[in-house]
Amino acid sequence: MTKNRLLNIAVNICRIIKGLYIILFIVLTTVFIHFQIDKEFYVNNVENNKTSFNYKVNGFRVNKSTKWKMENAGEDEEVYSLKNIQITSLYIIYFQCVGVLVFLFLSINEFQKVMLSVKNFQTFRKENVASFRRIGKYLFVFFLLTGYISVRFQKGGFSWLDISFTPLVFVLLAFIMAEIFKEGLLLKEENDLTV
Amino acid sequence: MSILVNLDIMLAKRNMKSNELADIVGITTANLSILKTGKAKAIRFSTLEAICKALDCQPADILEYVED
Repeated sequence: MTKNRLLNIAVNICRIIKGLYIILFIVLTTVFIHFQIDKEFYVNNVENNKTSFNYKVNGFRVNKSTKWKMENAGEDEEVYSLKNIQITSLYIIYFQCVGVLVFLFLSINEFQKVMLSVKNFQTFRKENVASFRRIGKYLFVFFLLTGYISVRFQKGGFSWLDISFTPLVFVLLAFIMAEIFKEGLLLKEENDLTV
Repeated sequence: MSILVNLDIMLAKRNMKSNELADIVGITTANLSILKTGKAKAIRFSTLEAICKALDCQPADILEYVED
């Protein structure tokens, strides 16, 4: 009973997170399209409010900023303005963000599959081993996608290398779980073939 | 597999059907089929004892070692 309740909660959390990722993807795509139609909206609203997006880093980060043309010293805001962002850079950032969302979505989806199989008393099966391996691969791609970020503007740009160990730990854990489930599958098969 | 299960031979000798043996021994016909086809990875002493009792034979009459 308790096991089922916990698994139900886990499955429902997975569903909610998947839903949130879909909403985030829609919002991101809408903003991406709208930004290209009406740049001024973001320049006036986002830049004037000095909004910044940050997340905690559990690793080390290398920041690199360059400014190619110094027409007016001290006018960083003009160089790093949203309206001056290069279109290729914008596309790269968009696809990076979409990639991150897609791979996180796929990881959660695989985890949900595992939870459902455990709920149906089919814990040790080939599909779960494959699911954990896939989670490991997806998280590794997530690690690569979030590792290097580069933003290019018309007159400058900045980039940072962000080696975060948290996704790598999760990658390792996923592969370890795959091995544990593989061992469990072998034991189950042996037990099933014991007369 | 170098261990052969000669259950079919013993069943023929005793003129007994597989499902009858399965009923007497208390295992499913699916499990008995696993044993007969050589897919089984292990056999419990209790199962072996019950089969020997039902067929009135020795374990060596059912199991045979053949070098690969």
